[in-house]
Amino acid sequence: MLFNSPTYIAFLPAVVVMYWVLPKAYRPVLLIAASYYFYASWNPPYLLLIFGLTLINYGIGRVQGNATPRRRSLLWLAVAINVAALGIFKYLGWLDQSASSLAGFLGLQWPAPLVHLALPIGLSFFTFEFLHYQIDLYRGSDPITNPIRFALFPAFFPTQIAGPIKRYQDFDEQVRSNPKYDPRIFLEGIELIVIGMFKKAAIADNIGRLAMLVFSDPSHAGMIDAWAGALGFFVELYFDFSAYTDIARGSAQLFGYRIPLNFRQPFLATTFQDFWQRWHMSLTFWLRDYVYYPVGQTRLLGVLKPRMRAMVAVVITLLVCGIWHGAGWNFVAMGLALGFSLVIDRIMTVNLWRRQMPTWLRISGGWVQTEILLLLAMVFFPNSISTAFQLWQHMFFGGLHMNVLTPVKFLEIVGVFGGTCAIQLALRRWPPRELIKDLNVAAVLRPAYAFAMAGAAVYFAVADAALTLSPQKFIYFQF
Amino acid sequence: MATAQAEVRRAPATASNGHAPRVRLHSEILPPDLGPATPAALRTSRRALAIMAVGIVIVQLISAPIGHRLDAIAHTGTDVYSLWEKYVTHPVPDILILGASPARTDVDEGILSGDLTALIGRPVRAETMGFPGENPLFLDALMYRIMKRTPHPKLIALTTIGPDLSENCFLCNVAVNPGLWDISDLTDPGFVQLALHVSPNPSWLAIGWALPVFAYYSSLIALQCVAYDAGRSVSTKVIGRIPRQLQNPTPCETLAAYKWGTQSTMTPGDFTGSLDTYRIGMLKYDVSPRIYSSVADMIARARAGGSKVVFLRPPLHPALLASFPGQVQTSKQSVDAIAGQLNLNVIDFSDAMPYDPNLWVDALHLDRQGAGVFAPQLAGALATALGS
Repeated sequence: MLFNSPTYIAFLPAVVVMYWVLPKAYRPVLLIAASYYFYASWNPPYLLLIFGLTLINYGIGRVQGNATPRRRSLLWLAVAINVAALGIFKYLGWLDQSASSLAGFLGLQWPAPLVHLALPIGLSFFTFEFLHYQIDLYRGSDPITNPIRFALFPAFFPTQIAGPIKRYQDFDEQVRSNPKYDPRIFLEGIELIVIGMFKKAAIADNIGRLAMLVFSDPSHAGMIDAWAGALGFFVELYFDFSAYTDIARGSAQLFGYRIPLNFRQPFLATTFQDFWQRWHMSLTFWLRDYVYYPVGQTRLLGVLKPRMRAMVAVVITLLVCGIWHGAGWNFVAMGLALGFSLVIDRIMTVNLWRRQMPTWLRISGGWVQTEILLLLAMVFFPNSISTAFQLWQHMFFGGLHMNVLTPVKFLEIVGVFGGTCAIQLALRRWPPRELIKDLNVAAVLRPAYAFAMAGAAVYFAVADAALTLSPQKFIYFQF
Repeated sequence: MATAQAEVRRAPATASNGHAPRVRLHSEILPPDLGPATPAALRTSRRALAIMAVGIVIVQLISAPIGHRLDAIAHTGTDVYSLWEKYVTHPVPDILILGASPARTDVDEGILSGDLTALIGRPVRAETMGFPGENPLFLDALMYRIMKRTPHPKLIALTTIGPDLSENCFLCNVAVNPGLWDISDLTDPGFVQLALHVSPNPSWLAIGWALPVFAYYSSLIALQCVAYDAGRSVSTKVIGRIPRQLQNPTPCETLAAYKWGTQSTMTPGDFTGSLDTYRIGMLKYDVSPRIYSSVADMIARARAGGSKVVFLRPPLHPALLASFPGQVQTSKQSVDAIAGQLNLNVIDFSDAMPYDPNLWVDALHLDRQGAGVFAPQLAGALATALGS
C-alpha cells in the first residue's frame, strides 16, 4: 500500500475515524492491528518477520531491563539477531551474487546464485529501531514492559516502511500518555499529508524522469547534461523522500503522535557536516549515536591522533550509511564517496573557508563546494559503479554542451532547484504560519491552501498514472 | 555527519534498572514545539478543520457531475456514463451490440441501421455500447440494468476479441469498478448486490459509492485536454498558429475514440501499441469460473427478457492474426466452447477486413471508414440472426 495510492487515502481516514471513536485503552491495539494489516497488504508471510523480531526484542529487552549481569551478552545476542535478519534478507543475495561473479572472474567453480529472497519492506528501518532500543537499554534506559506498547513502536504504520527512524523513549512516552485530540496537531497533519502528496506527484516524479534521461544513456551526455542529471536526481531524491516523510508525519499526527523530523532545508547547507544535520536526520543522528561515537571511541583507533581518528570514524560511519542504503557495490562506493567528501570538505573548511574573507564569499564558497561534492557522490545512488564513473568522466570532460536534455528540460531542473533554495530561504526568514497566525482569515487560508495543494497533487498524480498506469513508488519504498 | 557539536539532551540521572543512563535523547530530530495551546490558536484550528470538512463534503457532491463531464471530454463522448445516458434517453434499439471498445469502433450505427432496414424491409435501429477494456463482469451488471428497462432489444450481439474473456487481463479488471460507478443505481438493492458480487475489488467499489471523489478523481486528466484546446484556440487567434509545444497530442487525443473519426490512416505507433495491448491482454489467458459465470448469467438475463443473444467476433487486423496465431486460436476455441455450452451462435468476422491501413485506427479497432466498409457484412449476419 503506497502512501500515494488511492487505497491508502481511503485506508487512513477509516483508521483515523475508528481510532478517535474507540475508548482510549483500545487505541494502541487498533493501531497495531491497522499496522499489521498495512504490512501484510504487501506480502502477508513477511508479517511473521516483523512479529518474530518484535517478540525476540521484547523478550531480550525485558531480561536486560532486570539489571542482569549478562546484559552485555544479551546486547550482543540482540544485535546479532537483528543484524542477521537484515543480512539474510537484504545482503545475502548480493553477497552470493558477488561471490559467484568473483569466482567466474577467477575461473573457479562456483554454484549459480541460490539466494533470491524478496526484501521485506521497512526491514532496514525497524531493525535500526530495534538496535537503538537494545543499545539504549544497555546504556541504562528503562525498557518498555507493556507488550502492546512495545509492538506498536516498530510496527506503527506511518513510519513502518521508510521511517523516520523513531527513538523509543520519545515515542513510548506519547503512547503511554495516550494522545488527546488537539486540533492544531490534526490540522498540521492534514497539511503535511497534502504537501507531501504535492511534492511527490508534482515535483519528484517529473524531475526524476528528466534525471533518468541522462542516467539511462550517459555515454551521450555532455558536461551540462551530466551535471544537470546529477542535480535532477538530487532534487528528485529530496522531494521524493521528504514527501514520504511529510506524509508519514502527517499520518502520525492524525492519531495525535508527533514523530521525528528528517529534513531541515538541506539545500541551504554551507558545509558537508551542516548538510548531514539537515538531511535524513533520523538516520544521521542514529549513525552518530550508534556507529560514529562507538567507532571513534574504540581502542583499535586509539593509536591514531584525534583528528585522524575522527576522520576514520567518519569514513566508516558513512560507509555503513552507504551499505544501509542498498545491497550493491554502488552503495559501497557511495558510502566511501560521501565519507571522503566529508573529510575533504572538513579540510577545505578549516584551511580555506574559515580564513578571513567576506562573509558572503565564505558562505557561498562553502555552499558551492558542498553541492559539488554531494552531486559527485550521489550519482552512485541510482547507477552502477561503471555508469557513475562514466558520468564523472562526462561531468569533467564531456564538453560544454547538451546532447540529451533540451534547454527547456535543463531550465526545469535548475529552476526547481533554484526555486526550492529561494523558497527555503524565504521560509526561514518569514515562516508562513507566523505571518498568518494573527489574521482573522487564517481559518480560511489554511484549508484553501490545503485544497489547492491536494487538487494539484491529484492532477499531477493522474497525469502521471495515465503514462504509467500506477502510482510511482517512493525511492525509499523497499528498504 | 552530525558530530558532538550538536546539542544533546541528557536522560534522567538514574534509571529503574540501577545503571547510570548514558542515553542521548535527540532533541535535534524532535518536531518543533507547536507553542502554547491558546484559546485563539485552538479556535482558529477548529474553524479551519470545520471549513475543511465542509469543503470535503462539497467536493463529494460536485465530483460526480464534474467527473462525468470531464470523462466525456477525455473519451470524446464514449465514456461509460455518456453511453449509458444515451441508451436510457433514447428509444430501445432493435439490435444492441455490446462489449469492449471494438463493439463501438467497428460499427457505424447510422450505416448499419440503414443497411438492416434495407435488408429486412422495415425500420430497424441498431445501437452500440462499446466500453474500453470492459469484460463480462461489468457487462453482467450492465445487462441487469438493460433488462430493468422495457421493452428490451430483440437481438443482443456480445462482442469479444479475446483478452476481454481472460481473468488475467489486468486492464480489463481495472475497468470494472469505474464502469460500475457510472451505471450505478443505489436505490436498487438487486443491482447493489450484483455489483458487489462481480466487482474485483468490492471494498473499493463501496468507497467510490460513499465518497464519489474516489470514483471520479482520475477524470481530472481531461483538464489537460481542455487547457490545451484553449491554448491552441487562443494562440491561433493571437499569433495565427499553434506553437510547437501545444502540437503534441493530449491524453484525450491518444485514445481510439478520438482517432476513430479524426485520423485517416493508422500510424506505426498505434499499430505496434495495439499489438502490445493484445499480447499483454492474452498473457496467461484463462476464462475463469467467475468470468464464465458472469457470461452465463448475462445471457440468462437477456433470454429471460425475451432477447436473442449471439456472440460476435469483430475484425482483427490481418497482421495481428499472423503475429499471434496461437493466441487467436486459443481465444476462438474458448468462445466456441462457451457458445456450445450456452447454446449460442457465433458470428465470426475476425478475418473479414483487409490489410488497408486506411480502414483501421490500430490493429484492434476499425476507423470510421472501416466501420462503413464493414457495415454491409455485419448487417447481413445480424439480419439473419434477427430472423432466425
